[in-house]
Amino acid sequence: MVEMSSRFPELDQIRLSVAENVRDRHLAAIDDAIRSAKAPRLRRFRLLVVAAALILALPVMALASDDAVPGDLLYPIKIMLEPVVSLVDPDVEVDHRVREAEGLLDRGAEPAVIRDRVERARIVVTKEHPGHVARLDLIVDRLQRPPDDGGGSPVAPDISDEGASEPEPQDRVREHRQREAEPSDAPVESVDETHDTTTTTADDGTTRPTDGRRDG
Amino acid sequence: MSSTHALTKGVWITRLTETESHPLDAHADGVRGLSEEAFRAVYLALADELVSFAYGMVSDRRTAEDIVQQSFVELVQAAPRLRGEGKALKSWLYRSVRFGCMDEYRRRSRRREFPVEEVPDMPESPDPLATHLEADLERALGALNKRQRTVILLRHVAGLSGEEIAEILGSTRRAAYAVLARAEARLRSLLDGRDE
Repeated sequence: MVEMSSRFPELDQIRLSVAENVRDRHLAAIDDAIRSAKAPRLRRFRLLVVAAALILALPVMALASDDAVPGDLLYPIKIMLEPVVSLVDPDVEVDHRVREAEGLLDRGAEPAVIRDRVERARIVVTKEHPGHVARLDLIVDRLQRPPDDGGGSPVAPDISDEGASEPEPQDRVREHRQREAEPSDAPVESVDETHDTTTTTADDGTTRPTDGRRDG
Repeated sequence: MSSTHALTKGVWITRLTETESHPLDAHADGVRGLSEEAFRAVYLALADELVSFAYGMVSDRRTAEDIVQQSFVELVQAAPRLRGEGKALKSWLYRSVRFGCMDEYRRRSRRREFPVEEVPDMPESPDPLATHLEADLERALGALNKRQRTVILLRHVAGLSGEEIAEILGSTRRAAYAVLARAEARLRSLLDGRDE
């Protein structure tokens, strides 16, 4: 401390030296305050890191959960992200519901569960999605096959005939339209590719096998 | 010495300016960055004079020490926004201690504590462990208004320059000197018993 003029020697008694114990107490209080002040900065930094990780993880999670079906670990994430993805792809909900039903079918899920999924999918699928309608119809068709038909589970994928490929949904839609365009009195022939048998559908809707012979 | 350059009416003018370094300049950045070492250095450099100034203001050693501690704790909060170098840092601390003393005056006026008559008489010789001012000095300082008391203590106890006092008071240097001159004259007459 600067020694000042002797104009006021009475003021000398005011000049103090801080005692050692007081100094230690003060320095400890300052250190505590510094630690407390630094803590929010650290918390803010951690929060920033977590937020950045979440933002980066969002697209990864969306991709990873894209094929999830009900019961999967990632399925809730898929549902949670759906509103966000729908901002980019408005048909994402329709696509997801149909693919979920197909996914359950491929995994050999209970037919009741699959039918429930198909019904749910029909709620969101509209006439604007003919491809999706056809896909749902296909799922229902495969569910309706008897258990011994196709040589396995009613929900197992049809791989018995490698030469015959499953028609694409658009092809099935075209096929449906062609059938509707044909005269109603003509019997409709369809070939069951799985068993290589020809059936004839009469006017009353009954189907009878023709054992490969054609009525001409 | 540093130089600054300016282009005025197409002519380069070089100004030479004196920049006086302050002992606390080396710690200003450390304080802003909340370095414990920097705070420790600033505390050890200023603690004695700040406590003495506060003691002269509030006449109670323990209270003065608490005020100084609180000022350093508040500095921790304000440090990241603090501008300037060592001189600004020192002024900030003195202003904080001064405001702490003003708060203490307000608390006392509400509590009606420590009336001058009840201050115990102290021995004539200065006692380094004294917790209260001598009665005569306390009475003399108490007779000054708060601004006069502040400038007397800043000048004759803390040893600050007129410029530093002006910065702490938030006034011009000329105004600070004027207050100081009046305060010195009044304190002298009070201590000599000429002005009761």
